[in-house]
Amino acid sequence: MIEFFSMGKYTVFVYVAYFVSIVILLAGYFLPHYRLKKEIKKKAYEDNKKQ
Amino acid sequence: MIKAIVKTELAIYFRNLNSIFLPLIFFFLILSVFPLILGTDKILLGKVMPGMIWVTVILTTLLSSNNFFRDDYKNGVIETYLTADTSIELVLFFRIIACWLFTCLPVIVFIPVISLLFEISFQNSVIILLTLILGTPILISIGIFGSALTLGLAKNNILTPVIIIPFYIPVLIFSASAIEAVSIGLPYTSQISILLSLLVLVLPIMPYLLKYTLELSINN
Amino acid sequence: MNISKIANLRYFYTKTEKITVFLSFLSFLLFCIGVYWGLYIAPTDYLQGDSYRIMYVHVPAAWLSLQVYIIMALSGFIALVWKVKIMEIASIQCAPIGAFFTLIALITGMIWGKPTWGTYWVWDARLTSELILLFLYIGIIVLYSAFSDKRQAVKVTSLLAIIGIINIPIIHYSVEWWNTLHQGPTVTKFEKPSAHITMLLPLLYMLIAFNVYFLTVFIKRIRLGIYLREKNSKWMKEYLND
Repeated sequence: MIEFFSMGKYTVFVYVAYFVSIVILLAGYFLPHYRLKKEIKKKAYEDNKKQ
Repeated sequence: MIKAIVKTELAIYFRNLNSIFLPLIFFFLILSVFPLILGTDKILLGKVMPGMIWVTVILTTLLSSNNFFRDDYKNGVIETYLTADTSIELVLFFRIIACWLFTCLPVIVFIPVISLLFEISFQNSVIILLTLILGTPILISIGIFGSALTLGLAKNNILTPVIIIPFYIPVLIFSASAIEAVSIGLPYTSQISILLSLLVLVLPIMPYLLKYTLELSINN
Repeated sequence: MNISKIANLRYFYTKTEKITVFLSFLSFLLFCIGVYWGLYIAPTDYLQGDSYRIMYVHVPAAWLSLQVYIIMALSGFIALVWKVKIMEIASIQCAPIGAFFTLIALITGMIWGKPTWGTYWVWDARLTSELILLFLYIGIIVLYSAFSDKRQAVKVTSLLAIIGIINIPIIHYSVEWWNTLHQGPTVTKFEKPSAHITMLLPLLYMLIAFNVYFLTVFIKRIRLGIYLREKNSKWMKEYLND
């Protein structure tokens, strides 16, 4: 496990870069995912209110 | 025919003298802010002012070409443009030229005065003048295109500049590169030729593009 | 199977529900393998040490930022000329995806630049034009949200996207046209690749992984767009009730 961090002085840079990109990629995936669920729920709520 | 178009355009601009003087005054105001911030170091000013002149020109053209079609849209002139049987591209072309004449030409005429004020060397001011003469029609055309894109929008805030500035940046880069080349002493012909080719590319196409954009924007 | 059925919104929405789940897991798996490959298995570079591993996220992100813009401009063109509804939705949904890729490319590029060149940012041709690409994406997103009539918004933003496509060759060829800090092309040189194959292979793999990710998010976003447009239609109500 320790080999993962044996990149000399570059460890911080490499891991920060990968972390930032993975965070942005995950955000890009979950934004439409939860937005669609929210919209469907909102519509169902409004339909219920009307009835 | 052309005479009639030119006469109408001149009449529109001379009727409202604000439109002639305001861009020039705005240009001077913004330009005078820079020495206030940068201090009186002559060497620093000499290095930095050519670029600042370009930035101020960008702001001026942005703000004055922003509302190009606004009044026309409100008054329904755009519909008459699109349903007319004359070639509306010619009218738009002359309108672009007129806009350039009345917003950018005063600025360009005052550049020698400005270069005396800020002690910009003669070669530098010549190259500034050349890049401005080549670049400002391009900027005006693109700004008018931006105005046509955002035609239907009620709240005219800072949206159009945000969209248009990415298209201004290449012109700025080549002009700044030419000015820098002259101040170092390197040849500047490649940058000038690129600016010239941009001008030759953008200016004739713009009326056709504008007509298409107006059709797109007006279609409800 | 008739390919034009995909253009039908209802067909697309109903048939892609299962595919998105599969694609999400697939892209997650491909990414795990790729990150492990890039961080651990690929050898250490002689010149750059281990910092070159950032390349495995930076280069695919930058490549995809260009690719997504081209897809956006193309689908915008189809939407303008042939008025295909799904292309209208697809075109505008590309913009946030592309903006995120550009952001990743810029940020990882800055992080990579610090140990390699000593500076986070330099105003050379490729970095500046990539920054302009980010501004173009943001401009398109902002322009779209400013219109209340979304059909009108798509027309105007498609035109903007098509005009902005001139930036793509500028970015791509900027390292050849200008003598800059950025390294020259390594992947597309066919005569003699300047990087070793063991370092090149995970890069190509990550390109594929990023593309699968793009496909997943793209389909998800198109489904969102279809729902927002068709949420009051009969077929959508029927479909959601079972």
